[in-house]
Amino acid sequence: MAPRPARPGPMGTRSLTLTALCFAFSAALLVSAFGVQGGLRGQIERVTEETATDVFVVTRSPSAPTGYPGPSMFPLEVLETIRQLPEVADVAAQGHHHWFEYNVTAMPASQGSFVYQFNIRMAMAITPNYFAVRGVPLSEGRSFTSGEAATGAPVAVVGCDAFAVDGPSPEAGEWTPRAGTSSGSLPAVGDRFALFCQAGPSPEYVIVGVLPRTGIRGFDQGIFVPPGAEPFAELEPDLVTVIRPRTEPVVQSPSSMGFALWVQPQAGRLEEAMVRVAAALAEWNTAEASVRCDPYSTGQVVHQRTRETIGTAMYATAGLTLLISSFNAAVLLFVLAAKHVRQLGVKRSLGATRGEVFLEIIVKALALAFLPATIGSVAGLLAAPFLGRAVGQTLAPTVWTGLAAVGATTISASLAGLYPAAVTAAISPARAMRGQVPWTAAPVWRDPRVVLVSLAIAVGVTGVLCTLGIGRSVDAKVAAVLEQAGEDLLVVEAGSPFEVASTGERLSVDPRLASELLAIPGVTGTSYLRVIPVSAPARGDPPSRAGNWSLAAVEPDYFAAAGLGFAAGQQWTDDDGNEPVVVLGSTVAGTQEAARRLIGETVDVGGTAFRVIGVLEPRPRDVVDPVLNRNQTLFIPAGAWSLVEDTRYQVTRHVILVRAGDEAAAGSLLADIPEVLANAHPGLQLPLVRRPAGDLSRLRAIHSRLNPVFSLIAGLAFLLATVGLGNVAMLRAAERARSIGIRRALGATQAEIRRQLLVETMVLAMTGTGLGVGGALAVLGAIARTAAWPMLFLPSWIAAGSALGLASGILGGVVPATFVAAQPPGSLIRGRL
Amino acid sequence: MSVPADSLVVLESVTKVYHKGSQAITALRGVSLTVARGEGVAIMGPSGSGKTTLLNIVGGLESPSSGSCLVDGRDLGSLTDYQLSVFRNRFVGFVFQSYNLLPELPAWRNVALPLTYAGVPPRERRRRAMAALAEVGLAGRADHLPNELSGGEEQRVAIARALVIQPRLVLADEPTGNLDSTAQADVLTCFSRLNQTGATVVVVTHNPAVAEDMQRTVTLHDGQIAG
Repeated sequence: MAPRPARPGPMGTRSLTLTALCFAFSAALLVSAFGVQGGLRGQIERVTEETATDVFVVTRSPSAPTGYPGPSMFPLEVLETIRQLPEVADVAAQGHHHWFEYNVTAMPASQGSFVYQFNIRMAMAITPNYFAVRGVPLSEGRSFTSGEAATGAPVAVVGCDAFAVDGPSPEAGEWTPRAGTSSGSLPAVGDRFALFCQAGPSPEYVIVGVLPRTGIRGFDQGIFVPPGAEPFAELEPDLVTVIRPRTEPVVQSPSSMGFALWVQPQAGRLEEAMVRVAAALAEWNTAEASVRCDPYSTGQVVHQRTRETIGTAMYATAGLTLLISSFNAAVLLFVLAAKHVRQLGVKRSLGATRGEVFLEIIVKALALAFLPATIGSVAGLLAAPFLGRAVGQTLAPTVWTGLAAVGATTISASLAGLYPAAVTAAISPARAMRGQVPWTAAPVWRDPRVVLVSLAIAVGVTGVLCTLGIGRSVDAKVAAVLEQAGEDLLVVEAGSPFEVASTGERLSVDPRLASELLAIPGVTGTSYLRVIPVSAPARGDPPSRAGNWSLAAVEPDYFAAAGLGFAAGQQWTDDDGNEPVVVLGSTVAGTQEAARRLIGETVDVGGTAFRVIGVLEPRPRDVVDPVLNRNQTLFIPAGAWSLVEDTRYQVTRHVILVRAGDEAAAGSLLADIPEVLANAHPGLQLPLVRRPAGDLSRLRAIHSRLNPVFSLIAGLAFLLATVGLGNVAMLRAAERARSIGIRRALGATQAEIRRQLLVETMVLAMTGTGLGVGGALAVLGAIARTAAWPMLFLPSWIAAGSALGLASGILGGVVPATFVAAQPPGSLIRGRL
Repeated sequence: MSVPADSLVVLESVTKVYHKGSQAITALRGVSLTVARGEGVAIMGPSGSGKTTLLNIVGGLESPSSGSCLVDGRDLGSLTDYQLSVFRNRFVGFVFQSYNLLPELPAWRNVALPLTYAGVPPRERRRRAMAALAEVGLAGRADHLPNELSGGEEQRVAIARALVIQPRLVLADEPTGNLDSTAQADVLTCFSRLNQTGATVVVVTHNPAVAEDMQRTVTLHDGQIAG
């Protein structure tokens, strides 16, 4: 006699309820996540409206609508005129500088052509107070100094999306030209970039400040440079596809701004200020162009990163619950298929195709999600005000966001249905007619529901371990760097040479600059580093490998300040500080064995034989020097610099490490150093001053804000996965009630049945845990590579993951095992549970 | 209650009521029955008369709602679940109409299952299971899965599983219900042999031929002994 089909009974109901709850919860979370984004937009609009009269914009626009080629700009002198007016608090200037950026996309040969896409990109020349007047605080770094503004130094403040340009890479030679660094990553203070046009690249700019996300394209995608530093300004318009260079006449529509003055009036004196400014600039009214003063919605843009974090976390939470819901939905569809397998067989025997069976299950999946998603969306819409208060956000979900959540949830459910639909449709009609369901009789490791629930456990364990790992990595990084660098370390960095723009004089006296820094009150010590990128510095034997190495001239205390340890040999002393000796980075040296053999050997650097006296231990990039890969660097004494100077090598970076004695002094020196250097060298392109401990504290703050959110997500995923595990354990037990009953009839005790079922659940949980540990390793490794963090994964975490797996197995397995084992054997044999 | 010395099974006013929702279904109504040691008893009656319930109570798979069931002098109602498990394992051999073999295990492992719960070492389990299979003429099918066996062979494996522990009481629930006449004959031969070795056999059946092979026939009707 054929085995009876599975009887899901109450367990099927339980699974249905759980899945429905998960979908409803996911939809509610999606509504909230959409609501956060909507709220942010609303907030920006509201603040924009509220601050509409903060500033007004002064432009000079053509009087005639078309055909006017006249000038549109004011001389910068008018700034002073306006600033003197008693109704005016401050005034800033902004010159737009536009050019076209071409992307060329190869098309299929059949179409026989290429498609050219282009964007209008703009760099804006601004006065240093521009961001203060516009009410947009920088999220990182600073605006230009007056010295940089006066000399047109190649520095820039950029929007958060300034380089987020999609498209093929320039390295592949697929397009030209293209603007920006094309890295696609968030810009950071200290990064360098060049812009491109047909005539070639612009000079390299150093980012000194980054803007927060504002939702305003002009800010988010903007590149702001000092007047005089505009890219391609010196080139003829017909040579490059650059239009409207600041000095050229342009045709403007009344609403555009080729050049604008932003005026911040004294409080409550907007209209007076507009009248006075218009009068002061009356001489610029001509027959062709007139001065306009227009109130402008400044948009008091606030730092949105925290809000973005919350929005992202909510999306992540909704995604995670959708994933778990999908696992549960797939399990439930398997249950339903088992329950109705004879009907399926009848349908197949009457002519239903596999495709029709497949479609039927997909429709079931959609139906399964639609109602809970609708209920969840409505609940999310109703709960939004309360949730908003709880997270300190304004949530503004609309009916459309509710519909979007329902749509996303049902699509997710239909995707979840693909697997059970495919497996079920593959059952032969004969087997289906006999009530035979392949997965219910399959060994545990071949049951698709087991695979799904193991994956769910894996997701949970990965989440928990990643939370743990990220937290520990950040803490370890902060602790290690602080221990090596100290709270009082400052990093002063600049391109080479420190050039006085006004005279062209090159400050090739880095020791002198370091001495000047040493003279600043509060500075207790300095150490400097010159970096030279070289392609094959170490010819000869050993090492003979060519590569993209760097050559760095440093003072001896650099190694200690940067926390670099020696794998072999040692650093130079004051006695041999002028000698041709070299310390090799770990990659330059090769293996550890090779490193030991290299001590005492010589390498050729710029035609001079340098004796190897030390090899460094491997060391990833860190906040002390995030640019230089120390593993690929040859370090020579600063005193031996003269031996390689004026060779083919050209210095690209100067880094001076400054000791301030204590944390407080370091804080004040952060502002003092640029000021002192600016006073001592008017017109000097100012170096960037960073405090690693400060960078770390920001990192730590972000982490402490994110970690509870991630913990919540991980905990939620783990809990849902454990419930899912319990559900699958119960289903499997219900399907095997008869077999369990036989075992009981043959003498198995309750304890033996309990143990058998519990062990099975534990194996599932531990399998998921193994996958989860692997997943955590992969995720943490990826994060560590991206964030240049130390990859921390302690063996004890495997124990922690195993403990989680055990806990999950016990929590998910103990109830079904106890329940089933306690059933009367007679009922079990009859398949009743 | 006085129990005759040669009685193995003594049922005294056994009643069994099942509850399905708010509905109560009485399967047995005050059944009293005695089975002597070494006796072969056939229990007959129409469907729903309570035959299987009676067998389950005697085998310790279910407990009566009222009344008592003594097997080998032990009141099954007073035993703990653990003691009942040991009782089923060491004392009773079950044979079911639908064989109830575990589909994922080969024949010899199905036969060895009671020995596993009895704590018999693996090598000894295999030896005894093979011996039991040989006894029912299936030594050559030891490594076959149940779905690779015919109905008669499956039932003989089930009988081998029942006799592998050398039970003193064999309870069979319609053992020939799904078998053709040849297979029926094989199964009945097995039961006769078991009975001859001294085991008490209680068989629930609709088949008069099976009943004829037994020493006594008890007929149940509507939960009561009709004759």
